[in-house]
Formats: sequence, C-alpha cells, structure tokens
Amino acid sequence: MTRIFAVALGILTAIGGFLDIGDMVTNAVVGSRFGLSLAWVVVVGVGGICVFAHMAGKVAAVSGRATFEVIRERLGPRLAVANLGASFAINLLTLTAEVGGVALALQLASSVHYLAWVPLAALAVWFVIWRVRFQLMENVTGLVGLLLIGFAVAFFLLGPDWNELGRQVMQVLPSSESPFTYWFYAVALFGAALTPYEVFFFSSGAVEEGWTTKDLAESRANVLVGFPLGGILSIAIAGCAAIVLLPAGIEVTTLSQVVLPVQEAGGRLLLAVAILGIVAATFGAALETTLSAGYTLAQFFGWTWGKFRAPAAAARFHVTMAICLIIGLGVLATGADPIMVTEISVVFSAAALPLTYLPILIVANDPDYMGSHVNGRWLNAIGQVYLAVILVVSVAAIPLLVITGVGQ
Amino acid sequence: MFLADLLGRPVLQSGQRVGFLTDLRLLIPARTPGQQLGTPSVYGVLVCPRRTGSFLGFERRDLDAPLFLARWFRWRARGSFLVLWEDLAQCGEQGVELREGATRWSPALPP
Amino acid sequence: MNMPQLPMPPARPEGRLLDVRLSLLDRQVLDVGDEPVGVVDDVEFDDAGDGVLAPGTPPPQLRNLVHGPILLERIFGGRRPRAHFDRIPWSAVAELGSAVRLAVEASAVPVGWLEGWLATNVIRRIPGGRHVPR
Repeated sequence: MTRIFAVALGILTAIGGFLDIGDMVTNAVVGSRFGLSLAWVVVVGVGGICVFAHMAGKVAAVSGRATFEVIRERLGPRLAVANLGASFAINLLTLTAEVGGVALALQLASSVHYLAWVPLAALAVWFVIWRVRFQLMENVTGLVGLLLIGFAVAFFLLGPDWNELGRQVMQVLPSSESPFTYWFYAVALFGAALTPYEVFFFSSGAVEEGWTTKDLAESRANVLVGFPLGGILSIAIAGCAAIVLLPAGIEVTTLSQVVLPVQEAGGRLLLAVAILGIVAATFGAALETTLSAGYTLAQFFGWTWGKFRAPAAAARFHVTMAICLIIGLGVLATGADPIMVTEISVVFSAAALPLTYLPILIVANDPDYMGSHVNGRWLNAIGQVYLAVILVVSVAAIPLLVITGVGQ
Repeated sequence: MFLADLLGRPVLQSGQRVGFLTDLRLLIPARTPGQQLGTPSVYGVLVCPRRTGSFLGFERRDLDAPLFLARWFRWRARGSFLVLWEDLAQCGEQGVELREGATRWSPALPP
Repeated sequence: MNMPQLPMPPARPEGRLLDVRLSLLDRQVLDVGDEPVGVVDDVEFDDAGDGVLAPGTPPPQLRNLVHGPILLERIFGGRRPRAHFDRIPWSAVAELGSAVRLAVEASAVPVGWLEGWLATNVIRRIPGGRHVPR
C-alpha cells in the first residue's frame, strides 16, 4: 500500500492535468460526439507528457532548478515574460474553474446549491496550501482521486460492444462531424495532456520532496505510473459516454450528464464512488493549479517558495496564491460558467506550449545543469519528435478555436 | 558600466555595422585575495551578424545534443566571432566599436 | 563538427572563461544555506568613462551583481537610473554553477523590502503563519 504513496506525486499531477473538471467534461463531450475515435490522441498526449515530465523531474532532481527557473534562464526576457503572462493567466483561469468544479461536484452529491459551496471550496484549498504537509496533500488527494476508477468499472459493467468500439478507435475522422471540429477536439485533448502547469507542478513537487540524483528511479516511476493511469481514466470517461450517450444522442453540458453512464452501470453505489473521485480530483486540480500559479511567479522572480517552508519564510509566494484564490472567488461569484472557462483556456495554453517544452529539452541536455545525467540519444529523438508535434499544435490551436466556434 | 546597456547594441567597425553585441566573455582569475572567487575582468566581446542569432549559445559550446535543435541554433548563429578587449576602440553607453585591424577569433569556449 | 573556421585566440593568463549572458545573467542567486536571494538582473562593471578606449586600456572588472526592476528595459530597451537597485558585491560570491551561490547569509545582502513587509504585516497576522507544515 505504501508503494502507492511513492508515486502519489505523479498521480496527483496527472489527475490535476487531465482529469480536472474541464477535461472530464471534454472527455465526456468527445465520447458523446465522436465515440472512441479520438482515443489515439490521449495515447499520444500521455506519451508526450511522460517524456517531458521525466525530463523536468530529472532536471529538478539533479540541479535543484524547477522548470520555470529554467525557462527564465534559457529563454531571455521577452520570451520568458510572454510565457509567464500566458502561464499565469491560464493558471488563474483554471484554478477558478477547479474551485467551481469542486462546488459543482459537491452540488451533485448534496442538493445544496453550487454557489453556496464555492466560498467553502476556495477556503479549503487555501487552508490545505497554508497548512498541510505536501506529502499528506498529494497522498490523500491522489489516492481518493483514483476512485475515478469507478468510470472504468462502469465501462465494463455496461457491456460494451467491442466490435463497435474497435471500429471507432480505428476510424479517423468520423463522417458525421466536420473535420475541423474533429481536429479542434484533438488539439484540445492533446493540449490537456500537455498543459504546462503539469510540469511546473511536477518539477516543483520534486524540489518539495527533496529529490536528488539518488531519487531518479522514483521520479521515473512517478511518471510511468501517474500519467498512463490518468490517460486510462480519461479514455474510460469517454468510453462510458460513447456507450450510453452517443447512441442516445445526448449532448453533454453538465456534470450530471458526465456521471449518467456510471449510474446506469452500477446504480447509486458506483455513482457515489465516482462522485467522491470527482470531488477529490477537482480538489487536487485546484491545489495543483493554485500552487503552480505561486510556483511560476516565485520562480520567475527568484522569491523563496515552497510548502516545505513556513509561510512567513515565503511571504510573497503565499500572498500571491491567496490573491489568486480571491480573484477566482470573485469571478465565480459573478456566475461565470467554470467549465466553459477551462475549455477555452486549454486551447490558449496549447498555443504557448513550445515556450515551456523547448527549454526543458535544452536544459536536460546541458552538462552544466545535469552533469553526467544528460539525455540519452533515444530520449532526445522522441523529445524532438514531440517538440515538432507541439509546434504544429501550437500553430493550429487558435485558428481551430475560431473556425469551429469552440467546438460547435 | 552595466551589461544591460551593452547587450544587443550594434557593433561598428570603420563606420560599418558588423553585427550586434550578444555577450561579454569574462576571465575569472584563479585567486584574488579576500574573496572566494577571483574578480572577473572583461576578456572579450561576442558579436553576431544577426540580433537574435545567438540564442542558447550553441555556437560556443561543443554540445551536439539535441541533434536537430543544436544544428538549427548553430546555423542561426553562423558568422559569430569573438573580439578581444584590446581590439575594442569604444565600449560603453555611447556605442561599441572595433579597431581597424581587429582580429576576429572563434567564439568557441575552451573546455 | 559545425564550429566556425575562425582560429582560437592565443594563450591567456590563468583562469576560467565565462560568458556573462549565457551563464550568469538571469540565474538564481542562493545564499550560503541555499536559500533563494533573488535573480541576477544585471551585472555592473567598473566605470569606463565615456567608453572611448586608448590602446592599452586595461579591461574593466566586474564589481557587483545587480538586482532590481530591469525587466521592462531589457524587453523594450531604454535606460533607467540604477541608483536604487540592490547590489551584491562580487566578493560575496562563492561558487558558480547552475545557480550563483554566495558565501554569506541572505540577511547580509541587500534585497527588496516586500518579502519582509508582507511577512510581518500579513503572514504573521494569520494563525499558522510561522508554522512549517510537517
């Protein structure tokens, strides 16, 4: 059991990265409109984040430099500030959505209105960041978030038509939807898998855990367990929607539709498990994005940072995060739809991906940072291929957003 | 004199612009009494024909990984050279200028 | 090998060569206990007067690492009086690696006031502010 805790950082990073509220809904939307024909994108995306999170973790463990410090050091002022602006804005939007997502999940579980849960959710996120030890935070949210496995259980309980699903997986570009919409969702899913705050959080988490060159194997284990698990659960959510919602032509617009297949498969017990998983996952995502907002700003300006320090020793770091949560609270209080917010922010973040992943690839090869732990040839080869894909995606992201009107 | 005032400035020689100042190379002596690291002095100036040519410094290091990126950035920095301090006629806020017969050396950093 | 065909410079006095922008600028500064102090925003050399160099003028020496709001100038150009910037003298530097490590504690080095102000007036007022999460 304790060995699960050793990979808790990877699991939490993955959950916050591609099982947050926006991605859960996007996966269900994709399943209800495209079946499993976009599953390959999730697989490609998981491969990409595994490669880069592994590198970011290595850099943090060997040199002690977390990813945004590396970005500042390698990109020069203009590009680094551009990255900071984009990343911080996206973090802010996403954490707003996640706090809203926690409230939505709690509304689903109780019958208390969502807006009543919002301030409680924000306060809880703040409190955990303020007071709870990093390891405890990642262990609890990571483990409870894994209850999302309820979707995988539901998937099998629903007795899927394997022939039909297999046909969908192989079929690229279903004829019922426009190719632009198909590629828009492909970009959204890829962008979700590779959201920069995942590497910001993972590398900063490596420093929080105090990883050194002796812990490289643990870093690798976190990557190889966490992200594929996240990918499997993503596909499970899409698969459930593909089995139940696609044939019925049900459009996914709310969280209750996302869990509809689970209720159908396993009744109220499985539904309760899934909802608990959703609460934990969105809470974990809220923690991850809020901490990332703090990490990126603090690392860019060279402030003291980290949950391993008392808040008084990292004042600017904690004040930044508190301000972000207050802003998020304000935005949610106006009644903005948190889910729509993340869907758009994922696509914008896809446009800025190269600014995060290029420096990681460069520094992972720099002996001044890595000593003898520079990348091997195969890692570089895969890394460069993914970087090329990332460049294509970043160029295509915003045009597709505009052309399809956010996936209409 | 501050580094930020010099970076990116056009470098002239005999009235013609020959490039932009991309970096300063320092010589750090082995020992200076009273401190752990010797006080560095300016050894030379790195010039690149294009303003943003020298990004990440691949033209100065014997580093070939990652392969395609290294080649790409090295190509972008082609034509870069090092000028030693004694070959500078002017170096300050007013501008950077090379002497008439200034020698251009390889920008490579010795290992 | 893709290195240019220009010759290598002649032998130089004992010491280590370092490119400022490549290896020093924008790097994290850590104190003797590895606590972050700030970022190297700029580097200050001896005053070179009007900059015109008569033959035989010795090269300027690096006096201080500079820490201050230089970001806008580096992006857009322009100049700002450096009088109020914080300076870390080179004599305080112990080691150069992926970060700059000082030989002194953070308290011995002039760094911005915001951290201390926030710590005293905001953080310490909230319960648990001095508690290290364990």
